[in-house]
Amino acid sequence: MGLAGLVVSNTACTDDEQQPKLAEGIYAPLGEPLPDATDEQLAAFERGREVALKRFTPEEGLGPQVNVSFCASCHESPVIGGSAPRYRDFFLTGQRFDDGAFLPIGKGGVLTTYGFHGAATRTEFDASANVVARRNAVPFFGVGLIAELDEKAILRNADPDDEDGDGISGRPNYDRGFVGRFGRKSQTVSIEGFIRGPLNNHLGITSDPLSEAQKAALPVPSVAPEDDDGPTLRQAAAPEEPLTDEDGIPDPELSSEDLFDLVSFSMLMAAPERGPETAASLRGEALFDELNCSGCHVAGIEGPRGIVPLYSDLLLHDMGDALGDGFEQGEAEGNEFRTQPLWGVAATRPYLHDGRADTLEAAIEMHAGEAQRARDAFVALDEADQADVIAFLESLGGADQRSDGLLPPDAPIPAPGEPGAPLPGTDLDAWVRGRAAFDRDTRLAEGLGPKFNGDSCRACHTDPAIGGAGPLDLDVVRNGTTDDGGVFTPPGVGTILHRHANPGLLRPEPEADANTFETRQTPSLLGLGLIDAIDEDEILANEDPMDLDGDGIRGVAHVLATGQIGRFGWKAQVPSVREFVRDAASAEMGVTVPDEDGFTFGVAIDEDGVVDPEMDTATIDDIAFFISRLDAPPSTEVPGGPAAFAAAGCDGCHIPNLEGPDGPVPLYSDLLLHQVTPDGVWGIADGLATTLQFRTPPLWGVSETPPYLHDGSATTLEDAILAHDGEAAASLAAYEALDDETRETLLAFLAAL
Amino acid sequence: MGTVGARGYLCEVPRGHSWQLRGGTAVVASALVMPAVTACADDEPKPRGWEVGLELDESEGALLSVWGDAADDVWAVGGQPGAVDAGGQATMVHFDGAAWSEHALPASLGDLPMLNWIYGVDGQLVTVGEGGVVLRSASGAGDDWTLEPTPTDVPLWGVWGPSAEDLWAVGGDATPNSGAPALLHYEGGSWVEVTVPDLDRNCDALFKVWGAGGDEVFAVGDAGIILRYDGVEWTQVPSGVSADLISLWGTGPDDIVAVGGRSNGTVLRWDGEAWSGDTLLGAPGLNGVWVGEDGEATVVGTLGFAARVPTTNDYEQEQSEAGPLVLHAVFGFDGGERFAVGGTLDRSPPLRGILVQSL
Repeated sequence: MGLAGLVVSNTACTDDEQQPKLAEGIYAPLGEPLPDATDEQLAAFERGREVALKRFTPEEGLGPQVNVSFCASCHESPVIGGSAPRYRDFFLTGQRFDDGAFLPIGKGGVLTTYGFHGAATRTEFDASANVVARRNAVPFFGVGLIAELDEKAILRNADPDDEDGDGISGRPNYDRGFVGRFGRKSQTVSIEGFIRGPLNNHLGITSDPLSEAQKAALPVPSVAPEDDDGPTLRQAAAPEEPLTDEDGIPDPELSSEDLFDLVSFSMLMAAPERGPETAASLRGEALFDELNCSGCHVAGIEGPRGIVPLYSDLLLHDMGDALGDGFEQGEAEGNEFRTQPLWGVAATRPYLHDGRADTLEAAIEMHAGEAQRARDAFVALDEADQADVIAFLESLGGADQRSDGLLPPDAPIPAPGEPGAPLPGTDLDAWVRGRAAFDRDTRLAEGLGPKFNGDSCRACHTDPAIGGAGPLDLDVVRNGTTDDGGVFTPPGVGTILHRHANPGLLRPEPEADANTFETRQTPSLLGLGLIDAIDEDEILANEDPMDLDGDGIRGVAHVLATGQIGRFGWKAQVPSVREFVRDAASAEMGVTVPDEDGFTFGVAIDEDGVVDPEMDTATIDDIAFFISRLDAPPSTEVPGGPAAFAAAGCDGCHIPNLEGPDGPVPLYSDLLLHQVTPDGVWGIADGLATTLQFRTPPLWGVSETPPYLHDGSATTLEDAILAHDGEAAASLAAYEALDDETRETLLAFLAAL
Repeated sequence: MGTVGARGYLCEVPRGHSWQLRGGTAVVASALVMPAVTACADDEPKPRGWEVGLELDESEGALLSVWGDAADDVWAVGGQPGAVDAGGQATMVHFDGAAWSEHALPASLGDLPMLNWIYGVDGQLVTVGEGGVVLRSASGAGDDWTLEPTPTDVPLWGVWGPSAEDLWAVGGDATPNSGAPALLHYEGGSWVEVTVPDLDRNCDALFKVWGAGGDEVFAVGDAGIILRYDGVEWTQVPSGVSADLISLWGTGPDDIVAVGGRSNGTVLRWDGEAWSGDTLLGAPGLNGVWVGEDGEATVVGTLGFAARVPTTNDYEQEQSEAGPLVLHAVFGFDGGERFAVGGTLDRSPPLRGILVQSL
């Protein structure tokens, strides 16, 4: 059955009634608005997209407990509004009681990672939790069209008692009395609810429900008319998310205008444009029906525009114990999940509710419960027929926008002078190959995990371009134990406390006696090759460990166990780009690396069941080449800036230039360790770098990489300056003594570096 | 305050659902039942709809509770949430059988915070509110309100007792993980704190208390908590649900109804032995319940939802002019008038209030 012949499943039409037609004018490339959107709606779409990309700060209400700092963090793949790789997965926790009651823990069960406003740096795992689930983000493509569906059209496919005996017994979930349709368990009825909920649960951003007047202006009719019995009342349902939180920031923290734009943006997102039919996809479509995949993934549901081909019945199905996670939401039991819409599925891996499937084939093979028969029938097909089914699924949209990471196909090379551009004279083929490896999401079958923070290099290094720094919500958490005397002891397995573990595993938790937690911002890698080339003597020349010049600034190189001078990382704990690649692959992604002469960083063996090493030398070569050939961030001159910088004494540590083999390297750092934190602060030691010592971070490109300081505690550059202490106390005093004009010049200078 | 004038009954059968309680099993009606809108003939009984009786603006706030000794002597309380120095205030209104009017609280009591519940017994009136506030009118006429000291400063959400000298008040800061709920007893002429029994789950607040007598008292709270007092001690009893339970009412020791649910409505019944029930499919979150002597419950909730829930646990949604405002509480008189109150409780203050009535 081709697209033109697609009919809704289980419609109530009789022979003499006209078959409903496929909805027209609802398709566009992923992430684009509906073609028939009005100019006013398009303006709201663009504004809403900006809200989705807005990075909230603690001062704006982010927190107190969060997983992420912006909406698009979990809806970025392959474009804004989509899903996300595994590094944005999250955990749900709950408690089941003897009387059968199930209670989500925290906000909707969401287990958060970070704390602000005095909350624990790393949110503790509630020991009472006896149910732990995991979620991969769901895409928003076409959700406005799903919102338009009359709940009666959804209920037509319900067969709770399996009266037709096909082994499939879909039933609806409910939200505020209406048939649910959004979320992995159809637990939410309205797009507004599906936005306000995560805003609160994942960002700690409070909001008020939209007013009736605002709802009336939304792209999807959302106000209940006087005589309502139609498709609109469900969108009038505004969830009872908490209106307040405990961060001390006035509520609501998101304006009603921004919420309106965000809801509009989502409602206007077009349905994935279906790809061209091929002989294989047509055969696969016939098999899809023959296998009865369409028993749950019904081809379409009739809406006001015609049949909406989402390939889902939006109902709950028992998917068996293996997929079941015990987490109840609304009427959905632990083993029940909503049939996931398949439009655009080619571009939204990983698959299944917890992202446990690398591929569509794996996802199908993991189906069970009500889908057991269809799954078994698929497995029984020969390879060619299975490939046809996959070809059909991939024809449902998104295939031409699919990426192995986040870079779109044929992503341009940044031009000279743009952030993230290659150094002049770079072998561009090799650089592009390295960039692809840097961007590529590592699959489970390729060795991701078992513990990880990111599933690609790009996951954390993305601001303002691939290879750059990272947002606050990707900070690495380090931990350990500090005794009464202030002595720090690292855990036995390293100080990194990972955010993630592979599907099926629990979130890594600290050792019982851990009492010291520190977040670390992702440093930018732009210009790293230039720093890598600086001679060690050039770094050592600025050491003054005894403060012999009496300026209060000491500065000491971090001499590593190998005798090399560390120059990368917040503790200058890494000596070279290649060691950095090896270290990050293992420590951040859980990817093992091969033994290489002269290199000591990285882990050779892990316990994820994938053959080690999981990253080969050639890939390390590619990634290291890409990083080494990233040009320094562009800068512009600010008259009087260098003088203001010097007047405040910033250049005592942030030395403007170190000499490289090809000339001065304007990194604004001495690459030495300094104590710039107040005495008594607990922190993490790393090698010879004490808890209070940090490497002078390079300042080139600093304006593009907020927030600041090692833990991201400074939202603005001035916040960062004002937080300096210790060896920088005199510089801070000098800054505070500057007149307003000089201070503004200094800040402008930093912003232009 | 604007009093809405009398309106004619709306002669349509309300948009209604005919659903059954899920009752612990996956019972789902096969399709929505949408009764047709029909005109009512002159000789047909008037439908039981809810009309606006009172609207309060931001200067007065929302209404959270309504109670009356008789249909011509009904009280409702509410106000604006928050500390009094941050906009919090109390509001009280009275119905004399003909019209609603604002009832000023004595200035001598100072600024009072939002009042959350009102109840009468032995001819007296008692109302409780934020900041651990308890007011009592010994005359029951509301002309002699006095503040009673309490050992708590958390919000008190409910009060009930078999006599004016034997009262229970419950409350707590409903912010998640904010602390233990408050359980107070008025005995010997003063309010004392009573230890909440060990619970199997975290509970920050108890929202309402109701009893069939001094030795059969129940309190409900967040996370599906139900406490029972047998005249000697409080114990937790299984509810089978984790939804927040907001209110309860009953007719006797073997017929008590508790309601709640933030998303979907939850209705539980106590039959003298155990609580049973579950989600009221098709109903949004419920906040208020009143039970008539025939055992039929009137429940109200978000989106202006109001419904009758007879003992069979079917329910009939009633037409309500309160939508989309939140209804928080309901009270009625057997065979006669019913009143429900609420307001813009799903959004940030300042709040507006509403009272709807089925007369």
